[in-house]
Amino acid sequence: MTEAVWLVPALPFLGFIVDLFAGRRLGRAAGWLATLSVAAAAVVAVGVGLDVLAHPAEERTTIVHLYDWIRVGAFSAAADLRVDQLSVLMILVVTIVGTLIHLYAIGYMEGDPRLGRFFAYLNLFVSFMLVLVLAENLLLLYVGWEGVGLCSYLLIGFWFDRPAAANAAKKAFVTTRIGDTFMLVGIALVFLRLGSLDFSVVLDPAIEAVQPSGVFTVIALLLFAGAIGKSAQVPLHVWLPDAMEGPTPVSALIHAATMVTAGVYLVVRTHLFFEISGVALVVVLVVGVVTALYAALSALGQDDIKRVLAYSTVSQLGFMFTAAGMRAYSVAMFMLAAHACYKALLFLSAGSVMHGTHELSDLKRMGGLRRRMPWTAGAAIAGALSLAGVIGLAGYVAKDEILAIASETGRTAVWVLGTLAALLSALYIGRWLFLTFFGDPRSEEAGRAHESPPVMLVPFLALAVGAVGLGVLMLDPETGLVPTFLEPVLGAVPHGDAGVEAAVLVVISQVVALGGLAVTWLVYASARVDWLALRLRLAPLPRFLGHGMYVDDLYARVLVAPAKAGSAILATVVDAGAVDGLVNAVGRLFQSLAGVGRRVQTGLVRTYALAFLLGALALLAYVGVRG
Amino acid sequence: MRSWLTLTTFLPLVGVVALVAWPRIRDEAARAVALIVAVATFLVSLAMLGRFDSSVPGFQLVEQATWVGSLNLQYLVGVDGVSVWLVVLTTFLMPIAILASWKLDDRVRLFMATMLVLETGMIGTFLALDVLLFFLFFEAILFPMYLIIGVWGGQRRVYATVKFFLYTMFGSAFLLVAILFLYAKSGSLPGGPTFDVRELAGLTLAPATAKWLFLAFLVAFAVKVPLFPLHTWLPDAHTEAPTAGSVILAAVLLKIGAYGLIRFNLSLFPDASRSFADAISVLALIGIVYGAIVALMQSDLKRLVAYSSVSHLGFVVLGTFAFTQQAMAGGVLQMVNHGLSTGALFLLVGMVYERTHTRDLTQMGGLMAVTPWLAGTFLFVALSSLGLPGLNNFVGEFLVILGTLARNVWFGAVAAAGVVLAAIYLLWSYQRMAHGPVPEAQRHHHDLSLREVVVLVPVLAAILAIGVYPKLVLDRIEPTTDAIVTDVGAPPVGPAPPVPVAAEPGG
Repeated sequence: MTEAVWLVPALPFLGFIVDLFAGRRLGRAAGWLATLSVAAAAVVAVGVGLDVLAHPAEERTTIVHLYDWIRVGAFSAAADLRVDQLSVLMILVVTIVGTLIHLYAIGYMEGDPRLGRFFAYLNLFVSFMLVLVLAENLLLLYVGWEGVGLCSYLLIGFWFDRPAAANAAKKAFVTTRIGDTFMLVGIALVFLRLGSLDFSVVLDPAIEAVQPSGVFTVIALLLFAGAIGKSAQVPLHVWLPDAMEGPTPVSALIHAATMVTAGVYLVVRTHLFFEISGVALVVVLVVGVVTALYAALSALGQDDIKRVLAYSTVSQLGFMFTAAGMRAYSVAMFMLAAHACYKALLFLSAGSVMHGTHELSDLKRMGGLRRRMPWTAGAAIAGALSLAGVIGLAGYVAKDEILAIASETGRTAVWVLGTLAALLSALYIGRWLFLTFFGDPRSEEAGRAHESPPVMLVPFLALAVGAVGLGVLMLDPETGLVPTFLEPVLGAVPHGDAGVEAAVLVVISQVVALGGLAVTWLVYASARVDWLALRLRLAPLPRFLGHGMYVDDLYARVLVAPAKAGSAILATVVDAGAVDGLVNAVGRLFQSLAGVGRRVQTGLVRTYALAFLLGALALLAYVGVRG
Repeated sequence: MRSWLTLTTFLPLVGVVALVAWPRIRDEAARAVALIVAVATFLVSLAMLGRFDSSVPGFQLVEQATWVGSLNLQYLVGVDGVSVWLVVLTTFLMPIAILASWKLDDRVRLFMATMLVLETGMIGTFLALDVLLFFLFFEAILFPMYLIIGVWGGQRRVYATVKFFLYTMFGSAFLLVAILFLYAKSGSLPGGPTFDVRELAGLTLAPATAKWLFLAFLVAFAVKVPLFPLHTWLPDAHTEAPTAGSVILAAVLLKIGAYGLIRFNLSLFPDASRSFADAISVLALIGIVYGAIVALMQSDLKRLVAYSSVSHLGFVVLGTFAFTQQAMAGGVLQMVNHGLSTGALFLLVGMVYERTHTRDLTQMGGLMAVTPWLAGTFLFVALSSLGLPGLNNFVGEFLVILGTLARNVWFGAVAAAGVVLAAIYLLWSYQRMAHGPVPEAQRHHHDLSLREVVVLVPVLAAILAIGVYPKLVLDRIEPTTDAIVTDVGAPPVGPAPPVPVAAEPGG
């Protein structure tokens, strides 16, 4: 089965081709075809996974050679796929969550005139994402990396007649491409300094002896720049909230469950570089903690049902980088899988709300939806409790393990800030949940909401099982299924005996999670607090947080505006004025020297050309005849 | 048959003779004659490609005949890994350009004959191994190109043609003087004075002489590339040229500059090439960034694509003067890639213009709703042009960046930055054109016609094929480019030797 792993990305690609060219004729079937192609890929992925499990733990890496892609001199990058524990975990997450979201999208996108195109892009995305996680070398990984970026661009801007969507799409592509360019230089340096791009060569611990650690720092930081862009970490996070202009299934699949986690995957895959460097690992940790905190604060100020979740994703990705920065790679990977479930669930319920309320997205105008949309509300509650970190649920298992490691290994600052971010997470998701589904409807649309069709509800159930129960795979960081499975690739989860007792940590985390939820219930759902009045009294704060602390506006003023002005000067003054002007002036000089007017001059050139050509030929012919 | 190169070069003239000899030919027949001849030429060039031995680094399929014995001027043609794809690119795009001009109805017979003359000139330029013969072909191209812009061009065609002509003539003057000087010096060679580039490469010149000659060749070719700051003729020429003219100009004519740098500057003056490499690389880098930024500010779609050429050709020149295997092969591959992608962009701009009757991006919008296949194709080509992995440009650009980084980290880093800018201006133009609400005047355009599909599909297929399986092209380029890098004699800066570790599961 492992040899057939190429089918995993190939099947969705086939779906893409069919839907692209025959999508219009297929009508509704386009969606079913797309879903089936991803489901088929999931079946193959499960088969590959079982095959891997059948081997002893140390012999689970297989490289499937497809063909030689680029080879010049000593440089070579092949189309090779790598099957190991890490890539198997990733293809399972991508194909299974992908199938569920495809299924949901059949209902969500019903009636859209460009259904075929939508599912074609969605299939193409899945295909590139699978190339990304299966690639055996960094350049093939980069193919997937840029490919998913392209699909993200196409799908954010899917409703291209809305200028906001078109702008958001371009912003996403360009912002992530800034990070990608650093990454590309990093990839080139990996080859130039380490002699290969293949993971099996450069991720061997013996590589440490090849170059001084400073080289690894440069390489790791360049790769991490790509991860910052793709995973929307500070300071390149600004594109993700805007990306919510895309259809909701896209937000769930690309901007929550899969593509944005590619940065985490990259760091985890190449963690050897970061470890040899040491410094780079600290940078990952700092960026992770800062982002987790910043985005959680910003999420608290959002009024759009999807933008809360977007900032939440940024924050949760920050947690994953925090884990990676502490060398707890398998914890980061577990959180990636758990987050894929509960965040996809939250996005799908948000989509269901918008579907049922004629595209209502302002939290201030919702309320009380749990009575008219019980299934959606149930899904949202499961996702929110998991995200908030209520004990036993998948989100709890992941986040708590990260905070416990921070405490145990004596990283008190990380633990304190992480706990603060966890408290904020409980607050923003509580606010989101209670404003949407509890209290009384605050608008006509909310009052007339209707539940979504079954095709959209089935995925809820599956994802809810994941959001609630995935924790069983990692109940214990040492003997849990996920850590032991990943250990040969990612090493053991680090431990220490600093910090407070484990039991105390659990108590603190539950005070934070349940306390945060309780406070938001009191404010937004108990009808005991006039939260609108409170909000007015605090006015500057919500506005500050709502604008993501004005980082975006800062970029617009400090970076974009001067760059535009500079470009305009270059184009009009320098190029059209100075460079071209100089040439024209030289031309005029000759013109006036020759003392001929414009008409004569143009005639002159034509005559000159002919004379030149004929003269040369005549001369040669003459000499030729004579000689 | 042994004269594949001659046949490829002069077959188009058969069409010219037919068109000239038949003055009353109907327009449809004139088009058909030109198309058939161009397709036949393409097939012959494929046969030539089939006989090309990819393991030979030097010239092959050489044909030699004495032309002017007293001057030792020869008809001398041959092909190597640098020129082989440029010839095929030319013969591949010519039928496409002719088919794209199907609707042109002004002096069709003359137009088609001019195009075919142009084709012979271009192929001859790439194949000539005798420097004077090269110069004749090089100059012979000017005349038909001048006609194409001057007769079938847009409103400011006179200004554009004069500018185009003065610029190129300016460069040619230097080139001719340098060639004659070189000929005079070649008397010291064992075989006596010669124009044969292979023998001239063995000529020992005083360093100062070599530098002056290098600069003379450089000026001529830098105008063609065009290298900053000699680029300002290009936007005007492109804007005024008819679609076929723009396609050929961008896809093939600009390559003659870069080709000349490799064929003559590097092989005749290797020492001077090394001493000027940094300066030229800086100009190429300025071109990459500057061209992209200026492109960003254009609202005329054609001018935008023209400036993008300035940026893209910067990669070719950068690769040429990095003197590493990867950069050199990547640079040559980029010549082919730029020909395909920018050629396709100009084809598409022409198709858009035929519908919207404007090239002003601020007047466009919503084409994705009105003509989704046209807009989608434009996006595909734009993505190839901005270096999306999996499509052609990525392979060449990556090799150039990799090879340049090996030589100079900062040069490589600046070149990489150019890649971001390409994304900005191409997506911006696509967004202006295809997204947003549809202007009232543009609600009723028809999508791609069958003829347009036939025009586009071969180019799109080539773009995809090179991106997915570049070996096809690179294998024939590399032996030659490797040899050129060795001959230039720059100190090797290759990658670190592969690490001697066993291929075990990564840690």
